[in-house]
Amino acid sequence: MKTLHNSFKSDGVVISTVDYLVNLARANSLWYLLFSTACCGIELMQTGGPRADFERFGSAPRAVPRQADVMLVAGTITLKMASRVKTLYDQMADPKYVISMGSCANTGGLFQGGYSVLHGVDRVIPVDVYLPGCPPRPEALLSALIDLQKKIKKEKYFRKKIS
Amino acid sequence: MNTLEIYEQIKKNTKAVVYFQEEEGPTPSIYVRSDYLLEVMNYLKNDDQLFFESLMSQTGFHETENSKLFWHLYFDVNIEEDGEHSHEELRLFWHLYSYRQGHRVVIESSVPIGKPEIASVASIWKGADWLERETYDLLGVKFIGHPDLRRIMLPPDWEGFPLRKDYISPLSYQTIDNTPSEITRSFQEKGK
Repeated sequence: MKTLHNSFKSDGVVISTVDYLVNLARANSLWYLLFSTACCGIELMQTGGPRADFERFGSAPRAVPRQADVMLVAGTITLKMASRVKTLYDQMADPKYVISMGSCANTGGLFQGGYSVLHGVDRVIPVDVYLPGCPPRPEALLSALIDLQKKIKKEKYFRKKIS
Repeated sequence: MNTLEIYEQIKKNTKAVVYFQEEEGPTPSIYVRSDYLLEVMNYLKNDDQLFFESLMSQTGFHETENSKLFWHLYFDVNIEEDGEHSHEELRLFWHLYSYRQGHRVVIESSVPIGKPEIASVASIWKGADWLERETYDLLGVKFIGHPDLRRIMLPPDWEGFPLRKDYISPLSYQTIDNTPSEITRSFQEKGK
């Protein structure tokens, strides 16, 4: 699209595929669920702040899973919390994505020796992007969002899934 | 008043079996035999000079070393013969503070692991309610006379008491597979 800027002498015709346009729209308006249990949540809030801005990617925070596209699991998940995370994930509408933020959500992180820590949130919900860090900087979280956008732009949204 | 004076007062005014422990740490403590706990706590709260109106915290740990056990000394029990109460104990601590008088004291007691029951002080200090529920949840000490003794932090269908020394972390919970990875297993085994 950038190469088209200022390139027509008069009004012209642009041809594209519906796949490309739909994926563009979906990737640039990923609304995320405000979910955090521990310290990574503070970094999530800072990423929504003015310096590293989440909203310039089209990503608005939502408090309710029914309105969200992507769930950023930020913080340590204990065994008691695991069933609630699954409930929240089930309440999100398709198509939905999960970014596992920080080492506690990836593998249990700093608290792996503990008796009540879930070793990674991917034991209860399917994860699309893993983001390491303790906690990951806001710029790292933005790069994870860009990775997710690249993944979405490659999807063939209208093709029937072989199930 | 420091701990030695409080100990003298308790000895003078109650019939309890108490011993003054000179700990290597910063605070000496007063050891009370577990069947006299309620009497001593009642006296400490209601006496005018001592007036411990707040229970700051209630904790405990699991003692497994044979040479450091206390309960059988004060109950006059031969530890080799008393098989079922065996050679481990749960040592409990109560930290009391008085705002009016400005002094604090540490009360200690212990229960054998075969029969971990002790009186509850929830009728004396309302705050002891949740502190005792936490000790029950993590160590398995039963508080007799507690209004509602159940787990407070761990989920209600959890099995076992995690802060005991012989506790093994569960490999799965409610159909969630929680087997640790190889690196994690090396951390967990280093502690043993």
